[in-house]
Amino acid sequence: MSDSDESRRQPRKMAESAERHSQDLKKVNDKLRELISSLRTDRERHTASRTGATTPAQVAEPAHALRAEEPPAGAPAVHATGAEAMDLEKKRLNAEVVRLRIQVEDQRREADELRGRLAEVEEENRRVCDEAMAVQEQTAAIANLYAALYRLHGSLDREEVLTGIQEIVINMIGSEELAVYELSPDGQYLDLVRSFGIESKHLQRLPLGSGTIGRCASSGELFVAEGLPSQDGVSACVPLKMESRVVGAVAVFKLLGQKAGITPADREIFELLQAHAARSLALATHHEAQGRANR
Amino acid sequence: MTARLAPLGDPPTSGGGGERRRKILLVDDSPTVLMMEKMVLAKDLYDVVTARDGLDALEKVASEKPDLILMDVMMPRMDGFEACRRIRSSEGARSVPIIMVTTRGELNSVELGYESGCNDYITKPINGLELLAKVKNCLGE
Repeated sequence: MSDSDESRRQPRKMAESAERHSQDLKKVNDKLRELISSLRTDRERHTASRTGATTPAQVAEPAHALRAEEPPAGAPAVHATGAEAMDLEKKRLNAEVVRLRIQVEDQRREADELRGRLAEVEEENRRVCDEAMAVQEQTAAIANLYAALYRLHGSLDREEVLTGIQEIVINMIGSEELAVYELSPDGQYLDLVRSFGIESKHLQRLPLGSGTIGRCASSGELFVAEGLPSQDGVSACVPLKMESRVVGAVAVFKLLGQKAGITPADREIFELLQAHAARSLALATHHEAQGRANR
Repeated sequence: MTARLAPLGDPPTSGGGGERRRKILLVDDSPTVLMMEKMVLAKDLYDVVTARDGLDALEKVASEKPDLILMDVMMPRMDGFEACRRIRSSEGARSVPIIMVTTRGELNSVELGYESGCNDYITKPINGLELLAKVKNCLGE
């Protein structure tokens, strides 16, 4: 073989070798493409299983979304932009916190003011309720006085007047033990004319000026026991007066169990009895005497 | 003790929509008490009818058909407990609220009242405000 033949064959060999090498590279490239395609399919499948999508369109969408998240080529570094954004967000949140704190403070102040106003209104409401109660109590007391007065002057029958006095003591004062006395003609004694709930044997005639009842009639002053009844068991004694002259007395002994003591309303009833019971009794007595005389 | 309370009747109303005035039967042998109760209840609140004892009350219950009865305990002819028992056993008025008025606040008297079928009780001397409150309560006002 000559040198010129050898020199012609050499480039052909090199070309054949390059051709083979190129084909090998193409094969490797095809395999890599298949691998990438397979990986992409796996990733899409994985995304679809996370979002619950089943159709190919649904599967495709998250894939696009994933691609969109990828930073564009040549963009600044992600961590640097995130730090600045975080700093800005922190400042914005701080400002928001300050603004909210001011709002809370304002609302707290407003709530305090409303609470104060509510307390004032409640106090006013209590005062009005108390006044209404007082008016109702007064009305009830006046109703009682009216009923007592009506009862005392509602009859010219002496027994009926005495029953009226008894009913007033039982139902308005609250005692089921009482005695009504009239002054004897000689003015020295008190004679029992009506009793209820007591053993009256030793109370039939009382000397004026002696014992709680006698002293009350003698002085013409209302007697009200402070706390416990007097030694002779009297809780209250009302002198019965005609003009300013005592003509009798009403003695109230033990009060009913539920009754704590003599109240201001009771005193008003005693004053009414003091002024009106004697007059009613005198009128009824006079009427009866006149009736007897006419017969 | 509340377990023995008789059921309260429904508040009656007129057919026209507006409420009619309730009627209360006051039962007491004392005209003074009747007048006191009337003064408290009849001002502008209720229609009031009265009876002087338990027997009279039974007749008034049948003829007047009251919405509530205020019944004294101690009365001639028939006491409050017996009247209460009879009202409770009657057909037309067994659910009418009854408030007993007693001078004895002791437990015994109160228990007797509840056993006879009363709904509530009030003790003498009658306090106008307490009476009004109990009446309103029994009438569901």
